Amino acid sequence: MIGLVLAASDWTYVGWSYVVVIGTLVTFAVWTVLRGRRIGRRLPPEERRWM
Amino acid sequence: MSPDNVDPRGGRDPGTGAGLFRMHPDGTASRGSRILGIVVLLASAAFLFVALVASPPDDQSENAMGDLVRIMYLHVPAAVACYLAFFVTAVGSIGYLRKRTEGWDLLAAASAEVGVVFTALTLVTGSIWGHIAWGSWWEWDARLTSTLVMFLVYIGYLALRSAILDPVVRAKRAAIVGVVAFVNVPIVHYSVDWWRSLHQGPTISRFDPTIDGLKLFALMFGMLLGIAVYVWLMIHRFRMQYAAAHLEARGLDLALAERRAEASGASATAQAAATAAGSEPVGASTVEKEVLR
Repeated sequence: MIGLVLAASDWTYVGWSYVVVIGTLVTFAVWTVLRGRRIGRRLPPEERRWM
Repeated sequence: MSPDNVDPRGGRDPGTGAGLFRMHPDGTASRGSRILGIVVLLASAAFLFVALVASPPDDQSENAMGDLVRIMYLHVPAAVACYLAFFVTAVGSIGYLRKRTEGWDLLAAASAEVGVVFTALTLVTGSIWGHIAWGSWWEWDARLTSTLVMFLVYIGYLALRSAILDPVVRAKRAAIVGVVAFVNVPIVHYSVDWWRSLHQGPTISRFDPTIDGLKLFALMFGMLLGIAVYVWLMIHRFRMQYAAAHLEARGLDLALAERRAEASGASATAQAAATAAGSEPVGASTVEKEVLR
């Protein structure tokens, strides 16, 4: 494992950075949308002022 | 009813719009946020092309970073987004302390949640870059340490919010912390000027940026996209917080009504016993009234 890390090129680090950032933001966005739906389901429609 | 007429959603509202613009009936999306989301998705694809394909490696500047400069297109926008998020948290906190209205408190909370995510991304991408540039995943440098402190302070802010049950007490205490915590943000930003730091100085926050051409374009594009992603996430977190707060209030009302009903039920039982013993029942419908409320 350490050997692999040492052998990694700049592009490997660049790639991991993009994967971490995009993966985190997409996961956070999906979690937010799904949690919003779960909570919104229990709220009467007349109280959802954004609709 | 024939099988063709059966609503798969069980008679619930199917939502408005069609295709990509269809909004879930229970969700936190509106037409505006849906349009912003689509713009962000399209811009993200264009950004990936510019950042990873179109822009050249950094071979000419004083401290040439080669292809590692592409990490900066994520790192700097994430840092800008977390500054903005914590600024909005401070504004929301001040707004709550002045007006004492729920919206300011929810704005501060939603923005802090998104800001913590962007701060974590700033730390991670900086660490990856530092591993190659400095030969170390972490250095107790002024910029890195102050950013870590900022991250922990806002984690504490969110922990405080979830630890206090009373919404009014929670909003007031969180607002005070939200204002005080923002003091650290300028410290983070100016730490590279105030102390000797391994971290490089400003790249574009002056009139002669140290990068130009497509590299500068990729960085600016990334910053605009980071702000757009922050706004989209913040809108949805705000609406989620709003729904949660209203559910919490309804839950409290219901619990109070149940308690009153229980108390009235006890007195109704006593009255029933008194009736059985030959006395006149008084206020027999109290339980029904409380439950209906």
